[in-house]
Order: sequence, then C-alpha cells, then structure tokens
Amino acid sequence: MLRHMLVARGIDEEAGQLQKQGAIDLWLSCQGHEAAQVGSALAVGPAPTVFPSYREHAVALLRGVAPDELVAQWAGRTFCGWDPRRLRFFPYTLVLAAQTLHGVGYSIGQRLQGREDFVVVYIGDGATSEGDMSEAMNLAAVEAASVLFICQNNGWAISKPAGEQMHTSVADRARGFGIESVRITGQDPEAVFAVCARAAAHVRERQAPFLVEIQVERIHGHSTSDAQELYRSPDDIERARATDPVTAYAARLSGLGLVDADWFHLVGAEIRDLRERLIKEFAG
Amino acid sequence: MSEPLDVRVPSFGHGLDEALLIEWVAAVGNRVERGDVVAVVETNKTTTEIVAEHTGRITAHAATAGTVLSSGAVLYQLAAD
Amino acid sequence: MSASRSTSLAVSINATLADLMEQRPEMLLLGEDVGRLGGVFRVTRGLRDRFGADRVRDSLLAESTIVGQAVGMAMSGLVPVCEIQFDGFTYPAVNQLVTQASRIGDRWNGQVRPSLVVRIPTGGGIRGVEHHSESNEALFARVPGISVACPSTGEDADQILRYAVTIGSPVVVYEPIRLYWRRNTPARDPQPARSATAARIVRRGADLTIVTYGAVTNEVLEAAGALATEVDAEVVDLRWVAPLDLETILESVARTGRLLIVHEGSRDVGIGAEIAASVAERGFDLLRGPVRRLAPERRPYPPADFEKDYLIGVEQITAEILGMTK
Repeated sequence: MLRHMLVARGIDEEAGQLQKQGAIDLWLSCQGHEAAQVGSALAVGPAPTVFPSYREHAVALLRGVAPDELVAQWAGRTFCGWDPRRLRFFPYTLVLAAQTLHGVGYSIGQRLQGREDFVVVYIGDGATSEGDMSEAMNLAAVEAASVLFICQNNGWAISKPAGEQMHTSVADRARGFGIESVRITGQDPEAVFAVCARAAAHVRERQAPFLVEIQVERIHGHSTSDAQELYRSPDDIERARATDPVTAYAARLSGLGLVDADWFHLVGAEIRDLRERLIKEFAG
Repeated sequence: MSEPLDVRVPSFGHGLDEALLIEWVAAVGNRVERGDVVAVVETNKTTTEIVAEHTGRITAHAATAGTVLSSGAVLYQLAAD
Repeated sequence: MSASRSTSLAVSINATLADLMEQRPEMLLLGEDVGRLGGVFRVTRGLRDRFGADRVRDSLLAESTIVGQAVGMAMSGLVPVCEIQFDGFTYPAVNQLVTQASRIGDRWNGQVRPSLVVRIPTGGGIRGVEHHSESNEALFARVPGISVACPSTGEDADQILRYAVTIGSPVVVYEPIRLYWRRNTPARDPQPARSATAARIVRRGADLTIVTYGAVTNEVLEAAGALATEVDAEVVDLRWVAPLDLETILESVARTGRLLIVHEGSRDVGIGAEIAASVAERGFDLLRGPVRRLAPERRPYPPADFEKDYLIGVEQITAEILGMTK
C-alpha cells in the first residue's frame, strides 16, 4: 500500500511541476487523498468497474493506467488517455456527479445481462450537491444496484467549505435514501481498506448499494488554477500538510521495521524513473 | 318543460377527438342527475365514462353502440329539469 | 382533396418497438409510466406484458435519472430507448444528453458507441396545460453528436427508429402528440425517401418548395392541396433536422426557384434559419425570390385558449404561398 501511495504522490508532484513549467495545461492534485484512494481501490479488488470523478489518480495508477496515459488529457491530447474497458477504470467525468447515474445504470445493465455488476463510484464532497448524486443514490437504492459510492470529503468545494455546503454528513444523507453508510477518516490506508472491504462485502452479499464517506485533507488547491491561499488560512493549510497520509504511513511502517532505507531507495528509484519518463513525454 | 338540449361528445384531451361507443348506460326515458354515467366509450388511450352534464330525462340517443363518435357531434338529447 | 386513413402514429410506433424488441435482445424501454400504464399516450401499451418488467422499465419520475442511467446501460452494451413524457419536461435531462450522451463516443476514443434513443412527444394543438405543447428540437439540433428526427407518419417513424437503434450515437426522436391518434391525414406522394436519414418529397410540384417537418407537414399539405389549381407547390418533409438533408432541399429549390420554410418550433435561431442560411450559401443562384420562414414568433407557448393564434395554420400557409408566387 505504501508503495502505491508513494508512486501516486510522485506522479502527482511531477504533474504539478510540469504544469508550472507550462508543459501541461491543468492538474488536479490528489495529495492528501492517497490513503483513501489506495485503501479503497485495494479493498474492492480488480473485478468491479470504477466510475471515477477526476481526481482519483492513485486509483487510476493502481488499476494499471500508465502515468503518461493519466496525464495525457491534462495536456490537451485526448479526453481519455487509457483503455477504460480493459482496465475497468472508466474515463474521468468533469461535469460534476454525471458519472453517478452512469455507474448505477451500468450496474443495472450488467445485472440484466448476467454479468459482473459491482460498480464503484467515486465522488467529491462538492459534487454531492448536484441533483444527479441524489438521483443516483435514490435510483441505486430502489433498484438495489450493486454500487459502492466512495465520497472523498476533503472539506472544500473549491473555495466553499463543507460546513457551508451541507448540514448533514454525506453518510447521513445516504441513509436518508435507504443506503447503508459509514463515515471514516482517511489518513490510515489500512483502516480505509478494512472499512471498504466490509462495504464491498455488503454490496456483494446483500446486492445493495453502500456509501463510504472518507474525510481527507486537501493539501493543494482544487486545481493548479486555484489559489487556496486566498480563502484558506495559512494555519489551516499547514494543518492539512501536517496530516499528510503518505508521510505518516511511511513513518509508521518504518517505525515498525516493515520498510527500511533500502526499500525506500528502491521505490524512490522507481518513482524517479516514472517521473523522468513523464518529463520526456511532456517536456522533452 | 323546455326544449330538449343537444348534448355533444366531449373532447378527450391530448388530441384525442374520437371514441368508440361501447354501451349506453342511460336508456331513452331514463332520468339522470348531473354526474351520472350516461355512456361508456373507449378512446385510443382508455375506456372512459361520459357523464351527464345536466339533470333531466334523456329523450333520444344520436348514436348506437359500436359506432365511432367524434368530439363535438351530438350524442344525445336531454330534457332538463 | 384526397386523404388517407392509415394506422395511427401511436399504433405504428408501438408495432415498431415491439418488433425491434423481438429482434434485439439488448434493447430495452425506459421511461415514466411506459410499463404498467403503457405510457401516457399508450405508445408502449402491452409491451411490458409481452417483454417483461426488466425490458420495459417504469422509471423514476426524474428525467436526468432516465437518460443518465441509459448512458450507463449503453456502456454495458444495452440499447436503451427512453421516453420523456412531454417535450417540456426534457430540460432536466439536457445535461446528461448534451454533456454526456453526445460525447461518450469521443471520450472513449470510439471504444464505446452508445446507441441510445430518446423519444419525446412534442408539439401543440392539443389544449395542453403549461409545458405540454412545446417544440424544442432546435435545442438538440445544435448539439454535435446528437441526431434529431421529427417523423410525421408511422411509416417514417418506423424507418427512423429502426435506423436509430443501430447508429452508435444518441438520437432524439420527436413524435407529434396531435398525430398520435389521427387517422385522416392528407395523402402523400408514395415514393420513399432515398435513405433512412434523407428528407422525403411528400408532394411534387414546380412553382415553390416548402420545406417542413413534424405535425405541421399536414397543414402544409392541406394548404398546397387547396391551392393546387393556382400554385404547384412541392413539399419536402425533412424527417431529420440534424443532420439536415440539404441535398434534397437544394435539388428541389433548383427545380422551383422559391423556398418557404414552415415549422412549429419558434422562428428565431430555429431550424428555418439554418436552412435559409445554407441555401443562401450554396444555392443563392437557384433562387428567384427571397427565402421566407413561417414559424411562431419568439414567445412562450400560450395557454390553450390562445394556441390557435400561436400555431401556424392552413390560412397563413396559403397566404404565404400566394404572396411568394404572385
């Protein structure tokens, strides 16, 4: 898990750097979301089809999207750089929450054809304000669709804080639609894994939707065009950085003696290589 | 008693202007209250009832069961109270 | 004037849908009340009993849900044929149609080619309450990636639906409500269209080309028939407003030298504007006079008592034809 998180962090940093150089047009950082993404993606395994929003870079990499395929759409080369069907990781959808209905419809369609109907829908807290999210939760509930909703709540819809977006948690809202749900913090990938594994089992065994709300911290702005310093206090940004799930998990595994300097050296070399390939591809 | 009224086939909504007369519920000579069923018809959408618009006695039918009625045509005559 | 008494549009579409469902196991119907009730216009009557509730699905009362889930179903390999209850209720589904359904093929680099049909009962003249009489086909005609059909006979609807479920991109089909049950309609030239996507010349003539589509095609034919001894009008039923069959229009204008466009959707930035501009660009030398448009002015569809003033009637068309040919 740590390796996946470190790779995602490295790719994310490099994409941010390339954007600053003008080599790619826009980047939406997933820094702070790595434990939530890696833990959930490993917990559901490779069989389900993933309907991502647009920030699930760690899930994408874990599903086999190559870094250059991931970055291609942000460099204006394509609308989707990977093979969605083969990887069962569907294209990013930039119109908020539109993918939630696609995910439920896909699950129903697969079930009607007697095929694997387990679908994972990723969504951010801001996008849950869209009507399509409410419609998708209701549809999934009444159709008993095998859909696991994973909401990464990073506390911000660009500049609007969660407290001004909703008066209940997303998990509470799901229960209002008749969908069982749980709300957890997203710093520890092992905890996320355990909860999402139980959620996945619920979807499979009960043939019913489930929603996991994972509270994460957004380390960078919404996108490279965002300036979070304008609306977030330096203390708040500092606090988000201090809870960085990648450094925390690395320190913990080191402390337990599960990884050592040699391991970090090897993974570091792998990430350097991936970053160099990105540089060659987009800034070469 | 006043002259019998011509009661016309109503419009059935949404562009439906024809209906098949299934049966007369109120025979000639029957007294009907406003709202009583006079006839049963079938439009392209559904089976529906034609109800009395006035209270009075039915003096004549202008169509027989099995014929296609057009909205606006005379359906029956009624001597109102 | 001769008239034909044929199978009504609703009965014809029902038969086509039933036949397609029989032939194509991947097809399903999805819409509000299409199952148990058979749709508010009974176009899908009997199909749930015949094909089961899995394939004739009573949807939630939410248009974005209908089209959004249909996009997902299409991704899974199914061919959903959706019904929106009335034209004026289409708008909640516009986002899913415009930003999603129309773009899935490109976003997937051609790996998914969603065949997805949205049937929309359309148009006025039925004393509908607010939002029940609209004609918004020009809205989708502007969207690349969406094809828009406006059949005005059962025969055309049959050909269009059979084509629509095969093309691998979304098709919106507008079905005129006031023709659903109408059986007496003006006779048409029997020659079929050149292809499933082509316009159809429904009346041959030499003096003037009238391009039209949808329910008002019948009023145009009535007007042309009424003036037959004075003016020999050719009537082109477009059948599709996106993409437009400009070739048929230009060929007709080449024969007649005059062009009148008649439609029920409002005039400004409408289908007629596109046709007039295209003919001006590509066929200016063919014209003996200015292109004219006859369509409702830009205002909301009025309450039913005033709809006769809003809609284009036979007298207006007759007057326009005479004005252009005198």
